[in-house]
Amino acid sequence: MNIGIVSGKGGTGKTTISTGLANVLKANYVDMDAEEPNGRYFLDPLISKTSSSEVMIPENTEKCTYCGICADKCQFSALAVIENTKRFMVFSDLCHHCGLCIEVCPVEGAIKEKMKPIGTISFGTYGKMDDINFIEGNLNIGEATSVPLLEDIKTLIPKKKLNILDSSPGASCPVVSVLDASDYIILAGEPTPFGVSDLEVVYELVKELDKPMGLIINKYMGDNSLHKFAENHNIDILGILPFSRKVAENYSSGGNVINILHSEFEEIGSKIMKHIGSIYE
Amino acid sequence: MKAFISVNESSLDTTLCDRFARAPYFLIIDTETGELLKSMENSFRDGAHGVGIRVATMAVNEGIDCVIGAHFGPKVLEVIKESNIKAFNADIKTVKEIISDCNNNLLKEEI
Repeated sequence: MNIGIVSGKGGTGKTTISTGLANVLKANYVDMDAEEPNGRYFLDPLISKTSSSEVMIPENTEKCTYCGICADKCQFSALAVIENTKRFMVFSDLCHHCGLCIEVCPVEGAIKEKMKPIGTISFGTYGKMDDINFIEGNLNIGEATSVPLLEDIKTLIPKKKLNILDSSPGASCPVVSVLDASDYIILAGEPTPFGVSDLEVVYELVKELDKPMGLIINKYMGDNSLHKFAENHNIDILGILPFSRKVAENYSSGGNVINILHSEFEEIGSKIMKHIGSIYE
Repeated sequence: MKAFISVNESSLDTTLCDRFARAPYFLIIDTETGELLKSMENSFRDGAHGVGIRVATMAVNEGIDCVIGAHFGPKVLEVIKESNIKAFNADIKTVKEIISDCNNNLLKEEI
């Protein structure tokens, strides 16, 4: 059972909510915001193992005739083949590792694949007894997309356990990858014009993927725009967290949000369990 | 010298386009005689990504000696660099003025 936490806009409290919920629900925490993972600061895990995540990119061999068919057929324009200077250039930031270049190459063995590391996946445990799983993806600086790394993480998420998947902001491929792995979605919303607008975008995406969802309103200080949003779209409000200096100070020192908002998170946690009770055995 | 130029219209009376790979047209011109050897519409210009790579590869495979543009993207320059041809920066002027600048060595050599 995977709960995905998404927000559209960045900085609305995905990691605050994810790490708070992971704590009160004693759920495994999976940091899939691989471009800037920060859940570990609030869960203080013991890391036991770090492995590399790799993609396959093409390279040519001495059999290559520089005909250029691979570059022509590549959907992502990730290859340039120059006949007269005999160059086979791979633009790895555009390559989607699909292997089509090898499929369409008329010469057997003229293109082979080589591994390219794009990031790391760390495993560990957190909690008072250090018995709850912690998984974190960390994309190398300069890599264009975290999706292959997220797909690797997905094969490592414990089955038949409660897992909190902390997503990156936005509504593009990495978020789709998290949503795809999630059985229930929490929208982490911020009641500001920008926050509501971006939440609408990610809401449309969740709806398109036909996933059940609930809303947590964070940084609430009297603006009811997200209450209206929830009413318009018929989404349950799982909880409302206040805009508070105490929460911000605690966050800045790496404290878990439940140090300050324990009862609020207990309540949200039990509401979520009730919501997903029918799916989660 | 056979030059590949990014332009706004498909004739010698046109001006240089401010963008190289997403220009609407390209001309291949013999800079010594001023003769238009070939004009082509840019079929890659609306691509989502890798347009520079496509255009630069197409250009070098036309057997040219240099490309002339107002501004080149990094991937265009990477392909040009691997092709042993030159890239020249020109100001936005008419093609005829640019050819004259080229013959008087007034164009800035990017590669």
